[in-house]
Amino acid sequence: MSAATKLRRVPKLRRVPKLRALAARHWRLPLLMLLVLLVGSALSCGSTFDPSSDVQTLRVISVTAAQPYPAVDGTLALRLTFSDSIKEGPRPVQVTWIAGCVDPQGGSYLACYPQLIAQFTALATGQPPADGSLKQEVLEVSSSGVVGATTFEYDIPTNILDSGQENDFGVKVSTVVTFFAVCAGELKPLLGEEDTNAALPLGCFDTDGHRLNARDFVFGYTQQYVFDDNRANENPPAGGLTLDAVALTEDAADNTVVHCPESAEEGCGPPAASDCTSYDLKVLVDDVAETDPDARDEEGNVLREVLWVDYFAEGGSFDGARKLISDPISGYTSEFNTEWTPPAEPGEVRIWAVVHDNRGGISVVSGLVTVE
Amino acid sequence: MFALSNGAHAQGTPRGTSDAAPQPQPPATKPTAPQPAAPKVTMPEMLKYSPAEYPAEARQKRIEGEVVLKLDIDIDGKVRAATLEESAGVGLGFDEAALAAAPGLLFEPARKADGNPVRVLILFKYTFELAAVPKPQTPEQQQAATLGGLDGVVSRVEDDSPLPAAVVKLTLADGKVLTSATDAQGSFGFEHLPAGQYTVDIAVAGYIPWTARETVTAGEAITVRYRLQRTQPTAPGVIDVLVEGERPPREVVKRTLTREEIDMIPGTRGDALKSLQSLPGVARPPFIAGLLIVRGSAAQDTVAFIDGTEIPLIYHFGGLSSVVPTEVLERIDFYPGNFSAQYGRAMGGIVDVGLRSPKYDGYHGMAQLDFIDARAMFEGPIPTTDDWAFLIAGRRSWMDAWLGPVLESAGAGVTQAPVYYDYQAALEHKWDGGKLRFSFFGSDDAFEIINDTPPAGQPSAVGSLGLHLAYQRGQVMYQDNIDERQRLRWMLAVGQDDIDFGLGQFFFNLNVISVSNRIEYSNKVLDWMTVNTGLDFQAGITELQLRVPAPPEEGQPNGLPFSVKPPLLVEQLRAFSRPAVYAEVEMTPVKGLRIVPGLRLDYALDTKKFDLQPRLNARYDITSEFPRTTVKGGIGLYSQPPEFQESVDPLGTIGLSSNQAVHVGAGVEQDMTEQLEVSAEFFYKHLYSLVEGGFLGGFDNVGLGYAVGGEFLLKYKPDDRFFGWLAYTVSRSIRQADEEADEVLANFDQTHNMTVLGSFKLGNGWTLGARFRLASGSLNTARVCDPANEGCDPNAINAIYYGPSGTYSALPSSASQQERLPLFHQMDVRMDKKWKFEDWAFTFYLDVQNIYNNQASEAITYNYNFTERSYVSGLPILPSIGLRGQF
Repeated sequence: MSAATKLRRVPKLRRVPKLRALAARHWRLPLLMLLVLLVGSALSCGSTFDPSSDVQTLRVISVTAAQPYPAVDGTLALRLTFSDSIKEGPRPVQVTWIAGCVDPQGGSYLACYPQLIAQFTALATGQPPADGSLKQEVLEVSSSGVVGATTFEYDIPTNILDSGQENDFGVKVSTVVTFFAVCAGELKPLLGEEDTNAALPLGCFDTDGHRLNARDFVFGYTQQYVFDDNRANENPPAGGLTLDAVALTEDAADNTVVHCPESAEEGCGPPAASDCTSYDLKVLVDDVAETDPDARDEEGNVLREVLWVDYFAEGGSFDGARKLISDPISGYTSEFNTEWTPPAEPGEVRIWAVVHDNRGGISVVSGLVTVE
Repeated sequence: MFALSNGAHAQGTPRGTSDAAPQPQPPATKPTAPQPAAPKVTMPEMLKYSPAEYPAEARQKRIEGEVVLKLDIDIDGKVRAATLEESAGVGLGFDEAALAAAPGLLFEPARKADGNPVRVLILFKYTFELAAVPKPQTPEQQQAATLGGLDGVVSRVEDDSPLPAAVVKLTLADGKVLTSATDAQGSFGFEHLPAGQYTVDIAVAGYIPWTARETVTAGEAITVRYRLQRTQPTAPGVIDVLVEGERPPREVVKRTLTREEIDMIPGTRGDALKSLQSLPGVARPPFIAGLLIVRGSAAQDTVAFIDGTEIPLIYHFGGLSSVVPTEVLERIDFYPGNFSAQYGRAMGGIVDVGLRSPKYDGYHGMAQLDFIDARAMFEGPIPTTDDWAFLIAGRRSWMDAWLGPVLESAGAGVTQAPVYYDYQAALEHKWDGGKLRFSFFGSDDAFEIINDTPPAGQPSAVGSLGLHLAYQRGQVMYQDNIDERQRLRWMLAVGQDDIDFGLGQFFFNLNVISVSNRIEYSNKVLDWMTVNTGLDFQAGITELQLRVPAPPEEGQPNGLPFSVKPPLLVEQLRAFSRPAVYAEVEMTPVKGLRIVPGLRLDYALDTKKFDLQPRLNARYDITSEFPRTTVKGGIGLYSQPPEFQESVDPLGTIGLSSNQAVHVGAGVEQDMTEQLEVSAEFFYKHLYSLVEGGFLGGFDNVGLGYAVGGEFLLKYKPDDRFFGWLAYTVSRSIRQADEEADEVLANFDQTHNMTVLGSFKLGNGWTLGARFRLASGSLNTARVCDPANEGCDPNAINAIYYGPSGTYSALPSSASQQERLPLFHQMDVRMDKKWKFEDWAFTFYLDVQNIYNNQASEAITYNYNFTERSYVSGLPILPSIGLRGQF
């Protein structure tokens, strides 16, 4: 057998298994199934699910780290933006942060559950962890929708890199996992109720002890990386939002739009109603993609980050709520604006834009609109 | 098929010479080897009689005699050879005279159901009779002389014993039909027949029908003798579109579908290969994927061949059509398990498609058009030659011309349709006992959309989204029956496969150039033993270019949309080789018993491992007479080497072994009535050493599993008005990731699968058919439980939010593949109207799939945070109107 193999990025055994798993799937079946799904989507108008961009329940809009790559001796500073957009109006919500899980086995958040449960149990017994890895607070209704309504800080352990591993380029790196729960009730452990190896260890309950569902409860986690070379990653700067080229502000009176008398569905043909006016919505982001030292092209050149934006609104619909800003192949594109069609009901509507890079960097901007 | 007509003992004045003449006998035909239950073969008809000279000494001594010859009649109707089958036994030169006269005989050649001439051996009798001395006739005798008679005996070919209860139909020139039946002695008779030509049809359950033409002369009584051959028992696992007849079955189960049947199966658009999906043991594939899921095996465990050359796919996109149109098929051998040692590198089933020979008897063509595709074929002899012929055929879909606007007007998200085409060309040279054929065939499927708006959740997946699957094969095939006991078959093919997939900046391009070579030598070393030995060799070069989202580096969050991950490029050029040798012995030690032990040895250069695979198949006719009862069984080891990406660097793991399966099968076949037969097969597949991809490690041969089930077929064989069957399969397919892991149902496990179909000939060229399918739903790992199910908590949180990407991930489920989609059911209907003209035929058909528009559930989709679920529906009602002309 003769073989000539060129692997342009330096392969390391640690990484290969994941690629193996990717390639293990026989090509014929996935390709056929992909085509089948495409044809299936062609023959139908898709599902009738509300899109992710339509914020109508208790939602987490973003969790932003001040430094996605915190320093070894630095502080992990997180900001959470949420919205409680149920029709009945915002409620006080309980926000819980649980940090301190470093380099979980297999890189999976599931391996952090035992530690999480121990920390939460300690809180329940009135003895919260002394290292500041757990914080719980109840936010007032006015916090809903506000960018960075709650924050959490946690000191990175100085020995965090002891359990780290070298990446493909010989730089040692560790990760820290932080859980958060946003609950329109009270967070309680679910021990004994479910298999906590896979399911959630915590639940959200109302005052009557009824377990609340995803409409009233968001459980999630975020993950930051600490590098031995103290590299940094800045959150992609976002300069605000414009609606038909007019800046969105926190004063809803600054922007007034006409309501859409009929609902416009996203993603399955144009809105049926001809009376609806759509507005050009754009987040202001320059060509700010940083280079990613660990991403190389075929010739070995360092690549830039990928940037994209997710738009959210408390009403109306988008003609594409996720837009690409920059990628390593095509570069920066200015066409990351979208069309927003206002909702049928008049009132104030909050709109958000969350700008991501592919290394955990996030920026979020927001503004209010009056729908007449 | 075998039948011997012994008729035409002239009682009056001999024909031929003035005083004595040997009498020509209507030919009886015996193909070179027993054929399975088969489409009727049209027997040779004598065009030119060659009288034998009455030996002078015998005439002088007034001695009469009969000589039976075996004539080898070629596809031109000429007598290639004549041998003495039964001597007159009295010397005096009868035998020599008959042998001398035989080369002068000329016949209209025997023909198969598709009109192709076929070489046959027949028995032919010269009867030497002396003229009787005419006596003065009475008035009664003079009246009787205007009428004739026909009587005779129907017997079994194997022992010439009388065959009672055979229906004998005599059709007169004016269409009038007389019917009789044989008595206990196999005798029948008709009297007072007007002089003229008669067609005699003999039918009896369990025996191949026979048709003969007889001439009744005024004043004569013809005595005939017909010997009928028993219908061949079917052997396991094979479907022949057109039955070759030269090769006895080596396997355990055989089901035969004639092309006429396949043409009329609703829901297949006359596509023979699609009819496979209506057979027992074949599960309904999910959605409209054109996959063959055989006896609980994954689709990739079943391998498809064209004349022994492996091809990468058998169905075009979406399974709407196969890659080989029915018009150019000679046969389809489908082995759901326990297949012969000539096949390997597969744990599931085998589909071996044979391209048919071009027609040598003139130019023929066909054109067909329906909503999905258009096809055409042309064939005939090479001018100025009589032993070379060609065939060329092609097909292209044209859905792209009309589906796009329809989808666009419907507001669908994707408005492009896949485009496919396939082609077949053959140049063939035939000679006595063999043929040489050069073939070129291939297929191409392409689908591409330009996506300006990225799909939800994939911001960087913009640009072209394309899928292209293509293959081409150039093939040389040589077959020669060296003599009555030896046969050589050789096939050499070179080919190229292209598999291209692209999505935005990512792509997967695989180009494979391969050579495959098969040689098989068969030798009938004893009357009851044939030894087959063969070489099965594959080699080639694969060129892979892959740009995929890189697995996350440390510092790059998991769970990001794949389109925003940095690209990783892999280029690989690699040679491969997988040779194999095999030997197989076909033994028939006693009547009705066939035992076929075999041994196959495979080697894979990429794994550097040998696989020795012993196999054994056997079948026994408990009762050979009607109603026939046959039992059968088999056991064997089947190895399938790992996929290349599993076994070679940089993606795979060095040192892997082949996947292994032990096939065990047993079954019984039973004739119920003349038209109705039932069969039941039971199978068990033990799977071990399966290649599994580890979560943190590479691949390893640690997977286990089994598949067990029963297949039942109740089939009504075609008669003048109806054919149909009921097929039911019950099965269970289990996998374990390793010895410690829990048993889980395999992806394509399908507990129940039933197909009922039938086709009625309504007369005047109208045919109506219907197919109904009922099958267990596909398995799913439900991320959101069905609220209708007991124990489903509607308040359960099913997903976790991931901050760096702002998306939700479904929580790991401990109930993998545990929810079945709702029961699948669908009715397809087909209506044909055929007009026959002198030189051509025209057919109009309407084929409607899913006629009552059942919204079958094919998958489950979820909303962004896994709080809601919805079924994805399959194909809606799909009518297709087709036109077909052929000459």
